[in-house]
Amino acid sequence: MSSALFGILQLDRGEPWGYAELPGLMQAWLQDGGGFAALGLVVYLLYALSTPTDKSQSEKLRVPVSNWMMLTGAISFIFYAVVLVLVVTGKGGVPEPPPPPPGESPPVIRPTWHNELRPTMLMIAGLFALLSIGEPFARDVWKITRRNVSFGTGGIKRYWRSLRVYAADLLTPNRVTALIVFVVVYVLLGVALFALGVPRLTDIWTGVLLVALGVFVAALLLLMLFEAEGPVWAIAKLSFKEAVRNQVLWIFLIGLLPFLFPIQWFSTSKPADEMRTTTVMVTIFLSLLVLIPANLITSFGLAQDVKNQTIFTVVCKPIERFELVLGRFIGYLALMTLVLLALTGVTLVLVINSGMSDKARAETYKARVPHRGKLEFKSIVATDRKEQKDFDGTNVGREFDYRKYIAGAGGSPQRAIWKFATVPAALKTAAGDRVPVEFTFDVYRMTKGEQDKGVSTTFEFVTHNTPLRQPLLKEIAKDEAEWPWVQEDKRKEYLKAVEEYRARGIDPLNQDRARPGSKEWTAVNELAEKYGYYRFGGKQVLDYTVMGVEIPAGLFRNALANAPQTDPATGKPLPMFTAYVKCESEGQLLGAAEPDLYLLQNEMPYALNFLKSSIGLWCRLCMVIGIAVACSTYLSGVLTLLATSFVYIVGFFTDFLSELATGRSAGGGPFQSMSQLVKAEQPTAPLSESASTKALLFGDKGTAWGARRFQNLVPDVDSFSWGHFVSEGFNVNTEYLVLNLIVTFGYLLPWAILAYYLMKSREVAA
Amino acid sequence: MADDVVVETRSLSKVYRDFWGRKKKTALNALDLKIHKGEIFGLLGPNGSGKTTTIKLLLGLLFPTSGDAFVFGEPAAKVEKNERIGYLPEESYLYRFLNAEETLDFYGRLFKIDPEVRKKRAAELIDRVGLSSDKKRILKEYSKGMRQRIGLAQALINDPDLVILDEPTSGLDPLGTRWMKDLILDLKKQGKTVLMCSHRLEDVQDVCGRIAILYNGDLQTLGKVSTLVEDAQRLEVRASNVKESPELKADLEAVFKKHGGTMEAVGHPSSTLEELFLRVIEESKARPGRRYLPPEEAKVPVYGNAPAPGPAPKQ
Repeated sequence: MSSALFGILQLDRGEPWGYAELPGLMQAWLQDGGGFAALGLVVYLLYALSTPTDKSQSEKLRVPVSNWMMLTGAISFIFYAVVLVLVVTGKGGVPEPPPPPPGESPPVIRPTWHNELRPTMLMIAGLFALLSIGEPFARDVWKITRRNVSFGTGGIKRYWRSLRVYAADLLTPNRVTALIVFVVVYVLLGVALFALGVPRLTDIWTGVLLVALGVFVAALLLLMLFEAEGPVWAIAKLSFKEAVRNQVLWIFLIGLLPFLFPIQWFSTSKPADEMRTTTVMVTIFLSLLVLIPANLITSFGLAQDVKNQTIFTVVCKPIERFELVLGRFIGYLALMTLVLLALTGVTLVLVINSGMSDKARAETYKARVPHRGKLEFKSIVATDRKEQKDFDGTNVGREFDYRKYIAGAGGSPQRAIWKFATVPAALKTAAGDRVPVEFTFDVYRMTKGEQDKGVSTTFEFVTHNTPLRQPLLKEIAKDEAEWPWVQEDKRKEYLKAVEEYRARGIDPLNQDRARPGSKEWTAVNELAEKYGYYRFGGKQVLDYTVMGVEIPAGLFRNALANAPQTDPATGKPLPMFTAYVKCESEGQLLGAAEPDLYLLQNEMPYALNFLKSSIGLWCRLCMVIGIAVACSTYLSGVLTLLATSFVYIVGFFTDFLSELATGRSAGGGPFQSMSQLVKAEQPTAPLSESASTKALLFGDKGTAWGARRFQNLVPDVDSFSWGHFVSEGFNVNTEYLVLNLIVTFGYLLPWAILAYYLMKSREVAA
Repeated sequence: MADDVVVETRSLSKVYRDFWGRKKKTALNALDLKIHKGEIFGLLGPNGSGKTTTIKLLLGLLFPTSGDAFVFGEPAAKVEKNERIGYLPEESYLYRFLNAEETLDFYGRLFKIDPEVRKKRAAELIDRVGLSSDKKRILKEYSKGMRQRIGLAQALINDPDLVILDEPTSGLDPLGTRWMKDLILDLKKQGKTVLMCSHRLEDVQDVCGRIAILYNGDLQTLGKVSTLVEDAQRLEVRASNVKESPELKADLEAVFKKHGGTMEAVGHPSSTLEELFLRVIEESKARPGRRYLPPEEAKVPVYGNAPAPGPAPKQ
């Protein structure tokens, strides 16, 4: 089963998920969330049994057990019983993925919708459990919404009156004077900067002014929102004020603010890495600056309310207890959102206006919109080998086997091949009739090579109309190992066409002259459009540097002219577009991973990308505040702080948790490991078939099951850290962003239900 | 439930348990109580007798172990009933980072009181509790008495029909105590019902119409104060402008003997310390810089209505 909306999104571990994964995520969420809901339902019903609901009207109101709850709960348990039967009989399950090759980590399973009986039954059971336990919650939330949100004429009038009263209170002469003085001083400073002619400082001045205006307007809107009628807004405003008047936030801000400055102001880095390092550092410190105070403030908010007994005077008013929880959440989130907005803005202004090298600007001061393909490694047809196993890239023995390598030589048939199942239609009419292909390869040198010179690399780009095929051993020469065209006649035609151009004094194969805008480039485009083929050779590739080649847009006109044919070998449609990469330098290896080469679809501004990445931080902020508010309904401030920190920090280790939960961790589970430790056995030693071993493995299975449940409580923090997108100059795509917002909501909803029940069942005066 | 019954408890019990569900203490045991509209009802009892527990059960801050509690005919767990309740806790548990105006505005908003009405009412209450000059100071800077005053103001922000006061005079000086008692009596005049609990028996006696005395969670006695404290076996006679002398004693003894009684004591009655204190403060205000003169020297009557207090003393 794939991971749930409770938090596992993979990023470095594969292409970002998109809307295609949503049904699978929803199914997994219903299964996992439903499991917790079923457990909660059992606990709730037991609690209701121990409460004198039959004798006391108050208790009947407080611990309601409706017919709906009982009915949906019963349906849920029937489905769970069916699932149990299926588990026992071993039927209806999702087929297990094949184990990864020895030494390789298992591939990340993307969440997909499963039609098998067991996951379907589990999903339905979970849905009914959620409907059951969520009924009082939904009813009260509806009631709360009606109390706190009014779009009727009366409500709007009252809100307007409220704003008038608030404005009168807010705009005291002292405040207005202070604001005017501040504005005047700031304007004078700006005038001085303009007069002195310091453009960078002037830009910073302007940027900070814009940020201040933005934050001011946002704060004003939030404060206006807090003036809306209803207890939730009153409590939100109270929480906001409490946090503002609390010194914790300001101490953190003052202490860590300098770290938001561009890194080169107080440290040095490689010119090409200036922007990258700065972005990484500021995003890390931005996270610390926002998340730690948020956790501190929130953990002690409601908990101190209970401890100081201020809650007495609140819950004895006509408010639902969940309004208190909701108000606290909104208040803290509003404040920390403003803080995040201000810090992001100021950081961005400073980063943009820092002096950076042209290399850094070219590499990472942008937000590329890549179009990625699937990577595979191929060589000659493996008919001459005993195992008939295709070449699958060379492992050079690096601990982190993220990249695989192809050997360099003129006669090397090894290729790194990116297959693009689709290509964006916009590429047909790309500006300048050219489409950039960017890549970042790892060069693994077997010989010293030449200083400051890269390894020579050849690129071949073909469409589905011009497929290439793996060469046979006999087709390989010592100095040349080209992959032949499937349609040999077409190749000849192509070469003839080239010759015709040459006869007209245009050499489309002359790479130096065939630059965008030249007549050669027009010829290249015409050839590409007609034959679906383009070759670029001798590119000097430097180690781990963002580089690129420009390919004719004609290729995409060719690709999109007709639908791809079916590949007779696989029975699937041929890829629309394919890029073949060959390393020419003798004794060198070129390493590549799937994201290393892409078609550059578009380029967005860095600043916009930076702002988008802060939405990932905002999601994490929501999670931290949500967890802390939920925990503080029952735990003390210190315990809430610890619990929230624990959940968040464990979120960094979801990969390990995942291994533990799926029983794939090296050396088995804790029981097996313990046994191996005691017996001084190697983790790789085969296990005996004894009864004790079976007992140990059974214990490990139980642990894995527990780890799986615990995994659902933990957010995958890494998947919300989008700083590396920005630092590497890649666009945070909207689909990914929206999906993560949905995931955040999906993660917070069960916490909200938990908080609802905890708060409702808590005797605040006990 | 009769129309004029504002608070009713039926066999209301509360047992405190530890984490494992083991019984720690029975705080309240099968309390049956009815409080009627417009009366000032006092809950009396030593520490741990169940007074505050009763109040917290009525407010839904605690959940009953058995039995039930109703306020305005509604179960205690129903939050809507709180619309008509004002509650002053024993300690003034308010947000110390807010000032008086903000405090009242916040609590007013919980009742969804119209903003203009809220503002007007907050100003009136601040004035009424004598904190007008301190309304912009945050509560952290307030003395205990001042916090008690703003606490009372928050309890009255919704113009409640039932005012629940837990140790209302706790932390107040004699002036404040008198002011509080007058205010409670004033609430009664306005037709409101007041439920209060206090250790200070003289306060309860001064203002309460009926009381219940609890001990160890059990209701020991319940009734009108006047009835409960009356000593029907004895008679008290008071007179003025008569000098104490052996002849007077003999004459009085003869009169009582004639009516079958026995004279116990003849002497000057003493006022309470509270009354003396209030008189001294009032005199000091009226004649600043001059020492207080005892009544026999000042020729003023000892008994009489105590003056109204001035603004709250600052710390």
